[in-house]
Amino acid sequence: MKRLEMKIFPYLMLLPMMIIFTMFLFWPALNGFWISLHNWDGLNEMTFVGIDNYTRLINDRNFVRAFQGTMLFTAITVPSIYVVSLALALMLTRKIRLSGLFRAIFYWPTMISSIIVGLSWRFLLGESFGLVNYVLVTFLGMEPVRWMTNTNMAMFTVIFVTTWSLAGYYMVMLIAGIKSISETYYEAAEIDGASFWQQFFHITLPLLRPMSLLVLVLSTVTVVRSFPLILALTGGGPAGHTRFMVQQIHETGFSRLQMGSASAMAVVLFVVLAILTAVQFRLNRGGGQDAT
Amino acid sequence: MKKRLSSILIPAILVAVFALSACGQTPPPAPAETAPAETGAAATPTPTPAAPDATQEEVLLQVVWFDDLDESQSFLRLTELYRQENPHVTFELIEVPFHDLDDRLRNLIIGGMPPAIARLVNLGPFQNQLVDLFDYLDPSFADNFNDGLRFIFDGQMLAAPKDVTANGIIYNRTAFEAAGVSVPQNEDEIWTWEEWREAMETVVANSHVTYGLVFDRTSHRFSTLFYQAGASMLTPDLMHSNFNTPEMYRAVSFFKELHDDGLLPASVWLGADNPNLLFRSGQVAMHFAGSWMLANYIAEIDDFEWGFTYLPMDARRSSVPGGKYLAALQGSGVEEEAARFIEWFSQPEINEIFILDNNFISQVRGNEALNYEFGAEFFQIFASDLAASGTQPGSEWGFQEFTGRINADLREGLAEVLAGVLSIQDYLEMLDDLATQALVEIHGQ
Repeated sequence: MKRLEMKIFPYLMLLPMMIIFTMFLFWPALNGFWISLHNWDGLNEMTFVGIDNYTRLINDRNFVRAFQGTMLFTAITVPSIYVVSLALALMLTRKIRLSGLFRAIFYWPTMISSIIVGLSWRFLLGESFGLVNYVLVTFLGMEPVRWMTNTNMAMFTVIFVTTWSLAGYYMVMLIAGIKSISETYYEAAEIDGASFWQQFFHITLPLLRPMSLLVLVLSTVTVVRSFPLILALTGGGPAGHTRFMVQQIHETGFSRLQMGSASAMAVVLFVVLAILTAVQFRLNRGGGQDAT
Repeated sequence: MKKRLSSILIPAILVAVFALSACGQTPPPAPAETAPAETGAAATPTPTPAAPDATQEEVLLQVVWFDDLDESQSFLRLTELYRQENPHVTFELIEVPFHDLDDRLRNLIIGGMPPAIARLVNLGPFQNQLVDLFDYLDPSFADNFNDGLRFIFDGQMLAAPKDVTANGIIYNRTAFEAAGVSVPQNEDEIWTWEEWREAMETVVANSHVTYGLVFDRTSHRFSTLFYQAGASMLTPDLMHSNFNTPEMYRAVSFFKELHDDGLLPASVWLGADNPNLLFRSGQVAMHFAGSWMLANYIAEIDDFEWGFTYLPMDARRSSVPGGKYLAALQGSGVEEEAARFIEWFSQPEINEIFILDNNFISQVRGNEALNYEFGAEFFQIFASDLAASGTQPGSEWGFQEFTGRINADLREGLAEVLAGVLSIQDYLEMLDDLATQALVEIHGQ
């Protein structure tokens, strides 16, 4: 009886979370997959179409562009976030004055709603009446920059603003990771005459691997799912060049009323995220530490 | 041992049952009282209410509503008037932002809690969920309305047109006067596209404004240009695509040239700037907008003089009718009361109050020429442009099953043309394919 109780007990403890996950995660996910096999406008009768919605995606230029844009955006933004947050974390773990104040300042963007972040930067970078262009034109005599209406500049802008808004959050995680590294490693390295960069590459970076993996996985998932900030900043423009997967899914489902296609896109996005996460785990060997 | 096991199992089961029941719980009924009207009284006299009938059961009419400015205040005042005649009816206004309207309404319907009434712009997505008003009202009710917005589909009256909108040009009179440019004063002076464009260039060159025109980022607004060029989305019988034509090419290329020459800010069609705010900043000579924008500008613009003028013409004159409906929803349980209220709201004397309060245009018969407190001449211009439009724009935009499918691609593809990533010819061929495919799906051929 005791063995049975020991077997059941962990599952009982998990039961409340399992119920919540089932209702709000697993069931909607399965339902989404079911919808992806149908034509449905969200209101009227569903028509079963098998995998048609998936095969159509290959020829859907909007989906292909959104998919490629999302991959490019993720491939640049995630490393940018990691590098910036790591640089900030390294800076703030050194003995500098007012490090607490700087930490609060760098963390501050993460506390603002992403809609507000998008709108604020849109105000600053507005092409016609933006503050930045006003300064460039009025005080520096430069031509106004098409921050959000030139396809390349718009991509740069969303990468920059996304990095700005998220780096502070991951900085805090990396500070925690750096502080958990024993000082004795650094003391020994200094006695041996190791430079800052040698200490960084041979002690800090390897011992940060578990935290780095966490940061990379979390930031990848967050960046791939970017929506409100970009919607508020560029609206997906110019001409759809910053319309990424989540916005495309939303528009397909709720603007074009093609819930089946939108669900198929969501399933594809889920698979992509799962693959990216698995690759990151493998590359980081599950986050194991190995100081060299 | 059994006791220990049960001491764990029972609370766990209770937690699970509680969680499930909490999630499945129906929300408590919303308060049934209508918010009292707080703003000033309507400019027009109110009709005398009939004697109330105290024998009827209490009825709650939930109304899903969006505001262009603050029309809800005038709507609520009218519901108070209705309640004087029908004290058993109470109203609950569910206000949603316009861009959320369809989503929220869809969620309410899917969730099994459709409202009694909704203020709608597009009936297409909800065609199967709307009440046929003829089920509860006399068929002669349809005669209350002039031609304009289409509201009868397959013999069913799915909604009542509440107000009509048209596209038009609002201009910065201060800038035009500074530049010495005049706008057409009557139908004999209607400007051609070339004259219109010349006016933009002159005003930008000789006044403080930076741009000649802002153009709302909607397919509906853009369609005005292609109708003026003599193009259309569909053939007159609405059975075949008509996108890939030289007239349509001309309209798109004219619009692109205006952008390429910097007369229109790229930040509206290629970015996310709000044309309304740009015009209000005083930096733009003209706003190609919907008629409902007048109410906004009356309330918001103090810094400069503005006016309203005729739309330009190319091959022909054209505006595009649009507007809002009041529709009753199936499954609300109060369909008949909802239909009765819509009938009451569509009476000329009630409709007049709403229209004048909000500077709208009425489709109700008898309210063609109302005594507007501000800008009565503007409404004559709207009427003139609409009258010159022919039937094709109204027929095509009334074919909402089709426009609902093509709308997003029409708008987003045009943005790609403006950005230079899609050629005009490719754009027209893409629309032609999409329209043909949509028509096949609609007609089942």
